[in-house]
Amino acid sequence: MRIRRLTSFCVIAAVVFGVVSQGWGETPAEIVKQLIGSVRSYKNTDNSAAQVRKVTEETLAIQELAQHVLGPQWGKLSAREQQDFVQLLQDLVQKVAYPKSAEFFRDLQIEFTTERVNGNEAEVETVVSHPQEGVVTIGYRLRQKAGRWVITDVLLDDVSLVTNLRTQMQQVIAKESYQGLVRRMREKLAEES
Amino acid sequence: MPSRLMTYLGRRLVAGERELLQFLARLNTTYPQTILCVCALATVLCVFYTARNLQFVTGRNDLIASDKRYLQLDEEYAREFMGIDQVVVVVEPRDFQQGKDFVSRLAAVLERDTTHVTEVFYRIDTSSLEGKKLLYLTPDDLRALRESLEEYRDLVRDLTVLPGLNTLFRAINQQVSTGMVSHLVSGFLGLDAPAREAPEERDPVQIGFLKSLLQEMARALTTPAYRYSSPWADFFGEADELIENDGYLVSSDRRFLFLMVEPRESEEAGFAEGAASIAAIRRAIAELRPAFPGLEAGVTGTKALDSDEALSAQTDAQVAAVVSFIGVTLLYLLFFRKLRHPLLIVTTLAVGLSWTMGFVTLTVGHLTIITVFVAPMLLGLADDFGVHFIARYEEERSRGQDVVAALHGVFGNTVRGISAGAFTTALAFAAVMLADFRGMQELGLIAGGGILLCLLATVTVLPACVMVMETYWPWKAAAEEKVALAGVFSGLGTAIRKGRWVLLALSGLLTLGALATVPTVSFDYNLLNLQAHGTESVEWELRIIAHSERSSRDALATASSPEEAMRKAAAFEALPSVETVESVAALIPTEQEERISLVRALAPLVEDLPPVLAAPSPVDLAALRRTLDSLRLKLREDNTEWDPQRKPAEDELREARQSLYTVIEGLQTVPTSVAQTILEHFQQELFRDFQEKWSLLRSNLNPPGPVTLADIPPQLARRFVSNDGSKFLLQIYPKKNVWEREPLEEFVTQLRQVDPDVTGSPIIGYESIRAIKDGYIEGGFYAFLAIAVVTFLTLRRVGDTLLALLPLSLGMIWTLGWMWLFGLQFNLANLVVVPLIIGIGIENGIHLVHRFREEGEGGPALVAGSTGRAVTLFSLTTMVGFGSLMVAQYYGIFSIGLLLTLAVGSVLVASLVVLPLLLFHAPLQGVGMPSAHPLPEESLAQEKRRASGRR
Repeated sequence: MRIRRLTSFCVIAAVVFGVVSQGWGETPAEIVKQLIGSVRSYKNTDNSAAQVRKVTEETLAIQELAQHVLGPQWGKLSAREQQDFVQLLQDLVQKVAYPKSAEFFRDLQIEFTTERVNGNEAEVETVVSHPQEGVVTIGYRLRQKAGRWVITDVLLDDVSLVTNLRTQMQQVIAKESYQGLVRRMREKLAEES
Repeated sequence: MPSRLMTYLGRRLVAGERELLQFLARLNTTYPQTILCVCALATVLCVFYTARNLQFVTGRNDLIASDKRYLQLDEEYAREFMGIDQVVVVVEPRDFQQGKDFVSRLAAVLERDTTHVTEVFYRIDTSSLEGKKLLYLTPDDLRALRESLEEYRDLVRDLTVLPGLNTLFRAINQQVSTGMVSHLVSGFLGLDAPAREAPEERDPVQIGFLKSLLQEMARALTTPAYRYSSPWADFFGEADELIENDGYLVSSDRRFLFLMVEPRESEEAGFAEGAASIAAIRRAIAELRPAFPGLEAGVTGTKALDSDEALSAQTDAQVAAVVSFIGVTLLYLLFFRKLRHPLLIVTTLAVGLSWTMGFVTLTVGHLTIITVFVAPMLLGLADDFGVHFIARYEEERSRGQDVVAALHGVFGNTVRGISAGAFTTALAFAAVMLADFRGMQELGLIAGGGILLCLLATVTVLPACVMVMETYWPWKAAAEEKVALAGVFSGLGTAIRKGRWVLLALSGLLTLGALATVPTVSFDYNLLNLQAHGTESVEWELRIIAHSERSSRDALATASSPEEAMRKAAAFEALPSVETVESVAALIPTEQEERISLVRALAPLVEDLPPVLAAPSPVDLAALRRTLDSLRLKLREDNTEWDPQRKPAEDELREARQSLYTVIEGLQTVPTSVAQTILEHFQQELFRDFQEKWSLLRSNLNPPGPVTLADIPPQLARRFVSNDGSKFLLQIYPKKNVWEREPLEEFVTQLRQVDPDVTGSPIIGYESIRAIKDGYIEGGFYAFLAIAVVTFLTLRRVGDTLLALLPLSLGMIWTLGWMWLFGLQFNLANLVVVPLIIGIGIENGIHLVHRFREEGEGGPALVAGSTGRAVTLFSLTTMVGFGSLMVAQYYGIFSIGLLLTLAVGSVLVASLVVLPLLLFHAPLQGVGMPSAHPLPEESLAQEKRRASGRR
């Protein structure tokens, strides 16, 4: 179960990569801490849901993420379809990834080990550990945009979640269709709601 | 009319026997010096002839009739193909490289020793297969290899660029992470559900390599004498042995390396045949070993096993002969209290044995592992002739007879019993010759002829010696108190009389108890169990069987073409009892066109990668621990993030997980410096192994064409293709330990369903053991039958015949009980004593019944008389003679000694206790043929004694 929670967290982090962080002038490590702190304080209440919505709307640029993962398909969509897809991603983050990530982080220790800043780019490395179940390294890539740090990717043992997300979506579109992808995502949302 | 004819013939037979004995008595008493001269001359001639011409043959094949087809084929194959029946040097190194170095150096030493070695084979030169070696991977393996190279392309690239344990585990960890992230992301987005239109089938993730790698690391960290075993087969596929291991001959688990040696045949065949070569090989091993710490090596194979067996038997026989001689001499001295009598008996036996050896040389020409014990056997069987003769002579002399009269008395009475016993035993051995087994036929001829020759010596040399000796060293009556063990036998006789009912009841109970153990009696077919404990060739054979899939015993078959060889090999390999078949078929891959295209398809996947690996970096223990810890989280038992379609088998996961835990624990508990050393060594082996496989892969990606017969390395071609190229050999290895009976029987039976002409060591072993066993049982049956008939013809009364057979019958039954008590099984060696027991057992009965009929006294008198003493002495000397074999290290000989000692002891007790008790009441006259008549000068005295006995 912890793996699933971990994954959910990672996916959330991946989703937020494209979001222009409401950085408020913090360091990259502080941005990551804010995100994790928001996830860990999540509670399944109406207030919490509103808070999550607020955070995600304020912190996650779902539209840029959607544009990145759909690639050339994005340009083929009508404005209405693009809006629907962005909303679908936002709902999945809120209703699937966030609760599971919160559960995952409840019993785990997170240690911030490294922060490297190189011009407009930065890396923050954390070690997530459990006494009996070992450790896993989660890295965050950030970029400074308009004076603010934003998370651009999350890596589980150096494996990029965003790249993986994009690859899989492209494969489904190629094999089935954009409609097939959307159908699958809607079914998943319905299943988790 | 027939009754009258029988009576007439009986009388004529008795008369003829009497005349012959009178003639012999007269001859000996009249011309003793002449007889001794003739006998001495004959003895010298026999010794000389034997020394010049008698041979020793050690092979088990020599025990089988040469007209057996499987034997002819085996000998034919040995001539036509190289390498059958070679000495096998087995090397168990600390690691593979050490083994290769040792084998190479040993081969160089042995190749220089042309006195003892004609050929050394330890490495296959596969240069003729260059470019085509990947064709020895099956199409499935080639497909799997392609999938591995595609799926783990990054991992392979990392390993070729920056080889090392850290790189390897980091890459594996990343592969696992990638797989899991992929599934996690797809699950999050609802991409994990299969497409509705066409569900996609996907194979489980292959973690076989990871599992093997972790297991090896765990063994390296926890096993003190760790030996590297390659985990790469799960990645690169199982390559054929031919192209693996740098051409060295290696067991499948790489535990053993082999070196085959063709010893130089000695011109003087004998027990030393091959032994000098084997000893030279062992010396070479012993000299080299100190330079290779932790390495063990030894010699085995059929030739070495046979040689060790023969040498062990020979050494044991020598020790046993000394012990036996001392024991028997002491017994003679104890019984006779004089030196002259043992001297006379031993001299007579020596002459009889010399004649026997001359007879053996003339008729058979050689001794085998069975007949080599002819000397102790004859000593055991024929020493009673002299004992009975001398005991009776003493008795006659003590009655006041002069030397001539005493000798006539012995001839008139005791010699008849001796002759009857000798002829009966000889006939028993003649009956053994009916068995369909050459070893047994030779034994029957040699032992039967030997007994008659010993009898001849007893009726010529012994009385002549007595005559001559009396001339120079007259016999003196012993004081009553000096008569050998008179008090003991007298006491025994009294005890028998007083407690006869108790003794009879005890005998009955003992017999019933022994009969109850009959179902537990079994035959041990395993020839290795006969060998001395700790025999080097046996130990190595057992070690190979325990750790490898094949023993050195392979069956042989041939085909007339490579195609037929392939068909036959496939048919043999389909048998449940067959592990593998080596043949020209295995050297030429099937479906070569498909393999060629599959191999060529691998090229684009590896061509851009470096052909030679850089040196591995030192192991970073801290980083390795972190990687393994990360891997542990992903291999957790309750990890639900596996894609159901791609999740590996639970067993594999569990094993991998367990090994991972062991490695992590090992890295925590083993001191860092030690762990560093262990893992550096492991890394070195792992990447040397990887480099070999990588080079093999890189240099064989474009096969110039299919493998043909012309490509086969010459060393192998000579082993699998006959000299004239017309036959193709198949070597068939069993799955189970075919030294044991049931696996052997199953193996042989199944092989014969494919090819009735299959041969080789297991088939010859199977046939020879069966023939030997059947031969002994058959021979024993014939011997018993013959003895019963001859005993009846000798005694001419049914009642007396049954009484004479009683000690033997009871003794044999009791022996079965002793066998149960001592945990003794019949085996190929000790079955030889069955006819011996019969021969020895019947003599006791015949002598006692003869004496009873002569004297009319059963019970205590029979026991206390000279016949009772002679029977005892004969039995005890036999027990000492054969009991001495128990000093043997060779278990086969030990078991002969034990079995015969128990059997002769049992027969002795039955002879001295049960038979005299029954003779208390036995009628003097029975039914059947007319009774034998004593010689004229004895008949009156005998009648008088009988009359007084009745009174």
